[in-house]
Amino acid sequence: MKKLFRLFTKKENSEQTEHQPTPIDTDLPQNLTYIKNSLGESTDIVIRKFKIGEKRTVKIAVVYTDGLVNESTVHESLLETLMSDVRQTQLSKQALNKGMYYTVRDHVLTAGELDELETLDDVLLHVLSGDTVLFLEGETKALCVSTRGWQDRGVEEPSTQAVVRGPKDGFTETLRTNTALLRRKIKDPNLWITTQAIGTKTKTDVAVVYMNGIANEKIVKEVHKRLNQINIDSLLDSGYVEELIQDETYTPFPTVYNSERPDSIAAGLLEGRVAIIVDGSPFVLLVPALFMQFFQSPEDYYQRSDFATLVRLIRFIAFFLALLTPSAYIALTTYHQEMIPTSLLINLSSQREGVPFPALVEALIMEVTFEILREAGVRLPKAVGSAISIVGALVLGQAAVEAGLVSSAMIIVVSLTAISSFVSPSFNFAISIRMLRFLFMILAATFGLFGILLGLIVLALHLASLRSFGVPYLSPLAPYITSDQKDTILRFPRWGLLTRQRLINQKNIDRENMHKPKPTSRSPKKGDSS
Amino acid sequence: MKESITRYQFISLVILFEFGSSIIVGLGLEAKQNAWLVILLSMIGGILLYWLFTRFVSSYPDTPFPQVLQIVAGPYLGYLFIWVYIAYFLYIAARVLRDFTMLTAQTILHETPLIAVSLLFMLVVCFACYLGIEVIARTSELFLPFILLMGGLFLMFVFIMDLPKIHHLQPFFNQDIGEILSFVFPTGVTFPFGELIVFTIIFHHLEDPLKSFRYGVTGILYSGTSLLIISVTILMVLGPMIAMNSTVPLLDTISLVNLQGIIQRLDPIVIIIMVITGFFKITIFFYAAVAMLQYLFRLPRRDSKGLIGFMGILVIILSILISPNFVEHMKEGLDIVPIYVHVPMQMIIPSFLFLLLFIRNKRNNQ
Repeated sequence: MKKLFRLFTKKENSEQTEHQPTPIDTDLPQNLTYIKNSLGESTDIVIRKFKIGEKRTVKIAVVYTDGLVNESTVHESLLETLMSDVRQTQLSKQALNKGMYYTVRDHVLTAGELDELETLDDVLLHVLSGDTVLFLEGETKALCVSTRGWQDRGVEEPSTQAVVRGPKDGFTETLRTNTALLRRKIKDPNLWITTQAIGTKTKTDVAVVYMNGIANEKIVKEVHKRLNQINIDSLLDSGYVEELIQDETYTPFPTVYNSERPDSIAAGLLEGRVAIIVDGSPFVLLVPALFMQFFQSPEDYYQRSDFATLVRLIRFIAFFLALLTPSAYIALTTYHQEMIPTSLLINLSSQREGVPFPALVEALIMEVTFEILREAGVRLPKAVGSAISIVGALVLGQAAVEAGLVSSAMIIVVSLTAISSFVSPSFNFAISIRMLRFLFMILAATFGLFGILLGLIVLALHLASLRSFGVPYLSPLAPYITSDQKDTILRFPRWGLLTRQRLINQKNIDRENMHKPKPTSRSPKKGDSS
Repeated sequence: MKESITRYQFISLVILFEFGSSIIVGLGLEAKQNAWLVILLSMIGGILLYWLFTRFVSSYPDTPFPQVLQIVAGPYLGYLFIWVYIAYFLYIAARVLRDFTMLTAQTILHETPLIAVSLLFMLVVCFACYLGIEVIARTSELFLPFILLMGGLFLMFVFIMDLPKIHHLQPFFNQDIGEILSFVFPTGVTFPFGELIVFTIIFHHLEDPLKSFRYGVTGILYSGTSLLIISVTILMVLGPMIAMNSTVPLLDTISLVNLQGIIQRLDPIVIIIMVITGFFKITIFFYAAVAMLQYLFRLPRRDSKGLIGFMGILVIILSILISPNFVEHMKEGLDIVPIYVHVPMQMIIPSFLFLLLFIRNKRNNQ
């Protein structure tokens, strides 16, 4: 298998030659021609040339990309100040003597973020990122003003991981908005954000966010190391990063957690995990991700603890139902009829009398049909949605039974599986169950209960062998850590959650020292009454 | 990176290993009414034997067992012992595999060919050994609560149904002490307690190898007590004669449970216990053999796919050739193997090695 992949992945590295950056020329028109040529005279690039200074002697050019800049910022703090305000204000002799470039840099531009560029490649990168670049005649440096401001989706309620109670804001496609959403939740100087650009063509900003002093330094280092190893031309979604930094490729289980919810990511950061935000994707990654994390929803912490524990148990049951219901049905009806109560067995066999297929084929037909329906449902335009649901109900319903294709018990099995697989709060985790279900069905059809049990053992072995950024995937169940059981299957009341998870974080373990709230005594103290 | 095993993991490995096959076929049932005494005495004997096995690790905590063998017995004799133990572990793995394929065929897969069952079982065992002892230990930790839960359910339902009858246990001491001891030695001590010799391979993976005796004894006490309770329950339910002659007394016991027609046919409980504990028993024996071979050939774990696959096929063939039918297989297992295989491997060779170790330590101290 790996050899096969290597065949496709092997590539010659000879064509990559070191690209020499072009410096900025003193001649203004030459610089502008270079920019025009490199961008193929693209129509969205705006180049505005004019002259400034008291006697209008200094030639200047402003370059920006239309649509990526905030028009009003460009007009007010750049063009207007340069063209009219400069002449009206009396600048000191000293300032003027230093040269027009320094005057503009130190006295004229009112923008908050200012940068000096020395090569034309940098200029191109900044122009294409939405910054505005100023060229002055006779200077080998260009001024870069941050004027980024493009049309984007506002902060909306996330479409995945919906909650009944809890914050309703969701990440957007803009990196800055996303970091701001996290800062709004954690106003601590230890929330550290480092950014780097990945992708030789897309130059996508990728931010690594962690709580300094809480996050395990080894994991932070490991994240940086793996991100630096990425050598790819395009990075369009955080899914790319997830696939490139995960520990194990050949596994159906996700070893990187993703969420659209700032509260979920903030909670992860406070536990000592590391978040990775990719510009252009509302899905923020969180590592290390453990098996048990995929059974937990942010809402567990907003509802009462007893209810949260109950819901988690239900998710567990649903996990096993989604995984094993069809295979258990196949095993019982094919191999172990003696394990079914007699009256039920008679019912089942009378239903199956008219069905021409063995149980496995019957189950496969229905499961595949359901998977097709689900896939169709995701891609459909909303207007056609209701039509599909009607057809779906017919295919997966009484009509299928009456046509003699499947037994009605099979309908119940498929529906139970379908509903259970939607319970998982994490979509990518549910996918792994969907895939494994078919393996278990084949095992059940060939070896019955024995096959299912061996399948479960293999599953457990595989899960136990996985690691996410060095942390065992099944912890704190295996290796068993007593102190972490408070927030694994159970969810203790808040005053019981005093320590952070042990394997994720090793030094800053204590959370705030909360005490069990006690109501103040109702009867006034003896001393008070007098 | 060295693979390491925590305390819980080691104890759960010991417990599941002890449960393997003995919980299914019943322990000490041949002793009829005195089964409890036989198990108790066997357990004490087992702890003494286990103390002997841990002597080597307390002198050389971080050294793999094959290397200890070569240090203690000298390079040539040690080399011989390594091969003897590899053969022993493989043989027992094949025996247990045969046990379990037979039981599976008898209980659930009546028409599936034996070789298909053993092939699938061995495939999983090989996969586990390829992943290494750390993963096996974590998996055991994960499955132990389920097995305990299943055992608890078994006891609960049997007692709710009021199936156990105390008169099946009476009269006490109807056999003389010599007869009782004949059940304790060699059968009771060697199976399943003496088989813990296989854990000598694992000791140096423990986080604190010096505590291997304490952890192991905890495991033996838990598993021994559970086995005692299960055996006595089976005896009280089925009566001594049926219990002794049944191949799977646990299954016969649970099939009697029928609570108002709602809770009945609880056979899956026994099947789950059987497959999971059997898996761990075979895996640990097989892992021990593989680990010793890896040591001999200086093979890293990730490069030993071929070796594991080859040994796996060997065990399957061995398990089929071992005996022509079930009756002969059981007869061998109960009468011949304990005296001629277990006793030399679990008592004579370790005692001899311990003697050598003792002399060696004495000489070093002077």
